[in-house]
Amino acid sequence: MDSETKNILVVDDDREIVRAIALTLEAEGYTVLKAYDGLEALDLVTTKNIHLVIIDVMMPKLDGLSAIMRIRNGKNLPIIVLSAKSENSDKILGLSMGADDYVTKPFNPMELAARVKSQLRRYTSLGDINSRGEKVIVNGRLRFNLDEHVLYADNEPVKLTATETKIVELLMRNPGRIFPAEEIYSKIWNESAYSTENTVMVHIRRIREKIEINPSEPEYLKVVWGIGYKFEKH
Amino acid sequence: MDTNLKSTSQRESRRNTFAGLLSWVSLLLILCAACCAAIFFLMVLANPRTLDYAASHLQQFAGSPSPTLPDMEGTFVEAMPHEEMVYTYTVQVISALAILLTALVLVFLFRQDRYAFEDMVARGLGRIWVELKLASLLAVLMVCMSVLAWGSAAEKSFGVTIACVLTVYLLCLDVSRNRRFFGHNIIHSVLVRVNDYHGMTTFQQRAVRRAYATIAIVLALIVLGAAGFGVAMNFLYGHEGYRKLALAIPLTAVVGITGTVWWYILALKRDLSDWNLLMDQITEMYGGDLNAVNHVPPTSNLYDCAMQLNMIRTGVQKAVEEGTKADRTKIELITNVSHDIKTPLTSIISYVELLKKEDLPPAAADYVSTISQKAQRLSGIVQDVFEVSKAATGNISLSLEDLDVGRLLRQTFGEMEETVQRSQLQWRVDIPEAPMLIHADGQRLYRVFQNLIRNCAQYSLEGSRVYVTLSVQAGLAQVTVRNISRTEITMNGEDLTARFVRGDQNRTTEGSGLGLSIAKSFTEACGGHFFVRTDGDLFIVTVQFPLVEPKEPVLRLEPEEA
Repeated sequence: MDSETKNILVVDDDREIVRAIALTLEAEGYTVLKAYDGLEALDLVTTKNIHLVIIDVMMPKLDGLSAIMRIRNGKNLPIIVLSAKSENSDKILGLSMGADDYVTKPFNPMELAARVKSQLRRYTSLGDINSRGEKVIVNGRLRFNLDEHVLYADNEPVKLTATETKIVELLMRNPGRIFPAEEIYSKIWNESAYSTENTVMVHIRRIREKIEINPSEPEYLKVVWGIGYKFEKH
Repeated sequence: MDTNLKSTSQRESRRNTFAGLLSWVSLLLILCAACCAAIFFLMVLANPRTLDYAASHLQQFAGSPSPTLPDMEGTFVEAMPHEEMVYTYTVQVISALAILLTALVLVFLFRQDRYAFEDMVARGLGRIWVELKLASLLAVLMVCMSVLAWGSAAEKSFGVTIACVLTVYLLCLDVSRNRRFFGHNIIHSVLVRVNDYHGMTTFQQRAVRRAYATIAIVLALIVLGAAGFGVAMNFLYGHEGYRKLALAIPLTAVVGITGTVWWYILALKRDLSDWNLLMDQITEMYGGDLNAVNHVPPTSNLYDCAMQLNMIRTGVQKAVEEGTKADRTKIELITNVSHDIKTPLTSIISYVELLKKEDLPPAAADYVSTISQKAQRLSGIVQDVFEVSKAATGNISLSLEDLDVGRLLRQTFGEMEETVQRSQLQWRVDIPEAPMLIHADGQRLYRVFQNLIRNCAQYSLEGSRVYVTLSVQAGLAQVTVRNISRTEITMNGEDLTARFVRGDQNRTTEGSGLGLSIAKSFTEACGGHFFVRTDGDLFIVTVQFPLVEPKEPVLRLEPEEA
């Protein structure tokens, strides 16, 4: 699918970080363009054929968030924001400005590479999903095919056990709704049990390992502490 | 309740009232008899012939042929053979003693019932206003005095003795059992009925009570004055000049007293209203409104006081502002520092990852992996420092909701299964199934318990048991984590929650030293309590949250829609 090389623009005022990201991404087979401030980035976006932008928030001349807004005015391409701020409010601000993903510093380059891959897959394959006329539930980078009972993450099938598939289907059918462990248990195992929290939690953890890019900071399958579990709407 | 009885109500309900009454009457009998005997003894001491006088009365009472009365002059005629008299005496003395003995036995036998009965009597007495009590006391005294003054017979003095004994007994009973002997008076009762008395502060209650008492006393004085005036009129009737004088003096007195009272009431009222203003201001300031305005007028007695309060307020305001400013500066500093640390750290981690992919000699690969681990740890510490300082200065955003703390604990254990399994410890987890709702931020609370579990896994003695229990203690949901420390704990619990402090002083283990500190700040930010206690090597952490009532079913188990 991504046989042709993708052009990725990396923008950060710290040259060493840009170089490190470039090295990592080039190892994955992408072509990397570099920029060191917002204005430079805008120039490259308009002149070159860019498939994805990785941009830092705090930069001289034009800061990352303003740059994202300007890029969004003209083009529809995935943007990943890098920031040293890890507060939830900063994340929400970044995402509402038009970013598709948010990575906090210090990050693991492998995780960044995985996110790049995920964004590119979604970006390029978004068109052909609806045209096939299958019964699917789409949620961010996840797609659940109701006919085949198969979950796709970034268009690649995820190997789930039968129980895990059932849990994913139940939760994906009701995105945002909180399910307590007993309810999940009674619906999946078709029996009521006394102490179910641990059983359900173990399955939820295993599913997270398979579908999340960073399982320790899940984006889709979330624990609502003290209440239950839910599938986040993206 | 107007009366506070010391006794418990259960005691009297269990006891037999009749037995109590019997015992009580016996006690009174004994008391009266003892007093009468004492009085008689005194009389005999004072006048030895009283004995003979009494003996003749006794014989009359017993129905013996009336002897010639021993007249008071002393010419005593013996009317009865000596032996017969002795016999009569003996019978009567023995019967009297028998009655007394029975009474004594009854008093001791049913003493528990008697206490209960006395409580009952005391409670009845407690309902009577103190004014009525004093009035009846006065009445008894007056009757006794008049009886003693006008009647000379010895029997009467015994009657007076018995009345006195009864009165004194009842008074003692009342004073000893009822705490509010003077508090339960007519003024108080009227005030309770008339005003919204219980809404007032203690000070206001007392002031109002005092004002009414003063009015009552002055009124009584006026009445007495008027009565005195009437008496004086009676004496002075007929003398024209005296009559005018007698009219003028009490009139002036009445006007004067009324005026004084009026002035006193006005002054008191003003002081009271000023007090109220000041107290309102203090209450507002205590409630957190530091901008509460001073309403006390400059002419008031309390103006200085109000001004001083204002000065205190200004000082506090300044201190709070400076504190907030300092907090903000601290947060900014920490944000900047953590940003400045994170940027180079990003490079370090990235290049270490790149290095790992290179074909390195084994020794170099080992060094790189050490660098990688330490860089990750540094990254964790930076994040922890950032969070703990934000939490400690109250700058974290919380999403508080009603959640089941038991479920949260079970989820935490599910999430941390690997840590728990790897820890080589025996975990004894006791979480009741019944939901326990508390109001807190689930994500933060998860961090709290995560840190506590990690702490146990890291610092516990190998193979020892860790006890995690959830229980309800006086309206609080309480999570207790108990474990045995691997190394000796040389500091107390409070010090351990301080930032960067670790149980092992040489700091060789993993961890930022912020775990307990984060747990404590997050718990307190969510409105809970966090205690650390050490007992030898036993390490006990207690997390408490007030329980909340479920407002609505938090989760509806509705049928799933397709």
